[in-house]
Amino acid sequence: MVVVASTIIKTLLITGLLASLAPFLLASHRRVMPKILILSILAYVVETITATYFYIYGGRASWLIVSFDFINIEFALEPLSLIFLNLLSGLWLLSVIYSIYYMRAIRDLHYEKFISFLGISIFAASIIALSRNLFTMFIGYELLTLCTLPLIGYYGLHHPQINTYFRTLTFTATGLFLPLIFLVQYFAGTVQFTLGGVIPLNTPPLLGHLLLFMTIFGIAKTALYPLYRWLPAAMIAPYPVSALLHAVAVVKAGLFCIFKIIIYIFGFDYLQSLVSYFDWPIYLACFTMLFAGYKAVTHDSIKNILAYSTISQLSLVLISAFLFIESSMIAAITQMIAHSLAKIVLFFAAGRFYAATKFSHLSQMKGLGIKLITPTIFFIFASLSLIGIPPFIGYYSKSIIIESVRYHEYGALIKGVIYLASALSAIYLFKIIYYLFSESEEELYIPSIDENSIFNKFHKANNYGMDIAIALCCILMMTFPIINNFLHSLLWSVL
Amino acid sequence: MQVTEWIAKHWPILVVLIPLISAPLIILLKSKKNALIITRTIAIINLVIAPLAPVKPYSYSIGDWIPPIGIEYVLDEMNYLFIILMNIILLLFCTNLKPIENKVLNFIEEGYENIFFAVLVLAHAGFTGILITGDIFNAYVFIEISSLASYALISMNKNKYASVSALEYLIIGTIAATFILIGIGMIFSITGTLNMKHIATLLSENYSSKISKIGILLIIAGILIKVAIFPLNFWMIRAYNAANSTILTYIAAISPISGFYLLIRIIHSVIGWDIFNSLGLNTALSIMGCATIITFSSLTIKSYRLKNLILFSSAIQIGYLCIMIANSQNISQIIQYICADSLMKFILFYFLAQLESEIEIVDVQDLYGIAKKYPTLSITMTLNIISNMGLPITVGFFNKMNLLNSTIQNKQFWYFAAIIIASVVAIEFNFRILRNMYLGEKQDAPTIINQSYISLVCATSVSFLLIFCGKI
Repeated sequence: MVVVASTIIKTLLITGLLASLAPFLLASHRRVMPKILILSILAYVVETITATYFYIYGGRASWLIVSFDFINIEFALEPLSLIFLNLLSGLWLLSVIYSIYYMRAIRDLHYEKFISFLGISIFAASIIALSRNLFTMFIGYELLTLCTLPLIGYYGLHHPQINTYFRTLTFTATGLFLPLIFLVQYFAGTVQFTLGGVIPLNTPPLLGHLLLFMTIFGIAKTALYPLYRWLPAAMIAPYPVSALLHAVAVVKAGLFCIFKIIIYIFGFDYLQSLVSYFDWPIYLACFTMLFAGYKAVTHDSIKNILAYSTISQLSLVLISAFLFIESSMIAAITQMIAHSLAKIVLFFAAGRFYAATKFSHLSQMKGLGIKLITPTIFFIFASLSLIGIPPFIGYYSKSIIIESVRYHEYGALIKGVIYLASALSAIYLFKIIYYLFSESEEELYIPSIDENSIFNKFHKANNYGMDIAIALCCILMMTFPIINNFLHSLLWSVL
Repeated sequence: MQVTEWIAKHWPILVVLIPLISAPLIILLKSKKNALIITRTIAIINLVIAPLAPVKPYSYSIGDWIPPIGIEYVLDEMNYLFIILMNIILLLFCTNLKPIENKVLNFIEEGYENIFFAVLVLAHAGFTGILITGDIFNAYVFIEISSLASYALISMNKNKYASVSALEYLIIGTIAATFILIGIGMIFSITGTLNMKHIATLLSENYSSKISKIGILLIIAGILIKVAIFPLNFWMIRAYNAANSTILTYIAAISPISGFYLLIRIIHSVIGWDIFNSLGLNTALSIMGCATIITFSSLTIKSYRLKNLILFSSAIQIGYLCIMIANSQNISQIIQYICADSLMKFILFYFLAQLESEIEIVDVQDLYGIAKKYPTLSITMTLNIISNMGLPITVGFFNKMNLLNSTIQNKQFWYFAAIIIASVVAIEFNFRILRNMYLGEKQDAPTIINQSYISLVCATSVSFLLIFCGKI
């Protein structure tokens, strides 16, 4: 039985918006604000889970807000969006819990705006998730760029990096993504997401390559080679924002846009015929993966290492997606989620180190691993997952990517690149761990663990709060294989 | 009941007559206070009677002379919204009191301040007349009335360049008006009528004659000089640069409405879309529009003076509008674009006028600390700048979508590409303004005299409501 209902989408979006605006609205009630905020985000999580079950049991939902001549703002539930929404909502809850404690720990008590923009970014990402056509997706994409701007410029907009961030993302979106919508509208007659693609199979290859080029470079949030600089530039933001950017909202939204366009606008059949002439996307992704891995090894600041590591891992996801077959797309989605969970733990742990010491350079962190053992253990777990060591989820996702690569003409080469990049990731992650445990010449001074401080109690509470958030993320990461089967059944229903 | 009926019957003439009669009245009353009261009252009366407007389309014959012979006033979907918007802008302009007081009235000899309001109201009457009239010669008369008043308004500045550039404006404006007049004469010689509808029916039969073609070209050329399109728009940049920003909030917001209205009225109701196309005027208009956006986009790149940026951005908007008019037959979208553009200009120049109340030359760096000191102002400005960038989900975004769609529907990929490039540049220079607003500390911010932003907030909300204008 197919039920068409718009209520479920309306409630999802309205709850998301209210939850994100809650800190603004409750700015004068500081005591209750975090509780109400967390409760409303919990409501959002429950709603996403409900929507998922609603979909699995045959419910279908779409909501057309407004239709201007040819621009429709329309939302719909479909498997990909549900996966992304679940990821968003779950990690939003955890990152808000973490952010509150983090902001308290670094003694920045006016964090309402910060938390609010965090929420609005998630809201913009859920517009992307629920979008039913390219226009709605574009609106969500640009809103996401605009909403993350105050977060990245949280410590002042005077950094030149802000320019790099904003310019790269908006120039490419306006210069390439926007015309893409119109060209698709012109050549295919519609921009509605349709299974199997909307672009006619007899579209000339040159035009097809142009459209593919506009997709891949127009969505600069995936940070492929020439357009990767915004991601390290965005590292001037506080740690929870970096975690959000890397793990949840921004880069994942970019990947998600690419997935949706590949599946619903181009269609696998057309793309297969297109890349049989010249398979440039996958080589670009391979190059980016190695390049970013190399850059990560050369850097010494923990934030930059993690940023380049994200670029490298994103390229891995894209390699899998650019094979343009169903099984590789599922592998890509699995890898995307695995990377999200691992990366958020890494950033949270790094933020925990920063909150305790105010250091972010590796050489300053010598011996920190023993003093702050709990986050360090989680950091190691996440690193192992990211490298792809067996019991962790990273191994599983990487292995299915390697399995699907064999369908490619030069499968062996790509496999080699993936192994090499994994080795590089092992080098730069173990470098951090090595520094964490190495002996430091002078006694490490950790200001917050000062027994005589009157803030001691609060510090402890904040540290425990952050640790709990990291632990929850880590548990999510460990238990992911259990959810994974469920994910697969959902995905196979569409692909 | 009878009063409302009477107003509905005479609505088209009332909206012109009220300001036209008030202008001499203001001079006779000889007081600054009364002048201000009357100016506000005009806008309020015109807004109050706006809902009483007769069922559209409505034809009003002056003095009961039957239309082709007598002068006809026309009210339809094309001009109704514009008339309301003009009066809204006049009202908002009059709430902007302190800048008018400090920057305009201070330079006028004491006892003659009411003249300023008389000229303003006369200009308003002229602009409204252009919108309402259905007679092509009557339109010319109103063009002259509004232009003469605008020359006077533009020259009212302490700046020594103001009078020179006003003179230049006068010369160019008169040449443009003469073009229009000669064109009207030529069309009159062929058709023997001045009524727009009548010309339309007669012209479709015998437009092939060379005289009528030249007449059409001259009229269009005259209007294009008036709206300031690329090769003929440097007078606008100079004149507005020298003019007082406070007065520009009115002039810069209103004059594109009347100019572009006249253009779409001539194209769609007088010469007809097919004749317009067959003469190749749509290609010419698009190419000029493209040249405008490319030239001024490149000029914005190295410009750091706020007034220049705003002027260049309004020139770019004029280019966009020309491309849209040349490519789209969807009048409601064009109307929405013009309204949003005019409100946007109002807001930008208002912002500039507020800043100029204390400091002389406003660079983008003078914006430091604005966001911390004036949160309301900065939020409204942020929304407007985002709209100017054409990013979602603002009225500027939807307008740009319509514009891009109109070009791609006509398979004009070059114009499409030009608009995309200009959009990227627009993001760049608007972000320059936006970023500087949020930099710096509270004490860096320039002092703003008038701290009530009612008109700004109103203008922003009206412009955002326009998103749904196409739906109605």
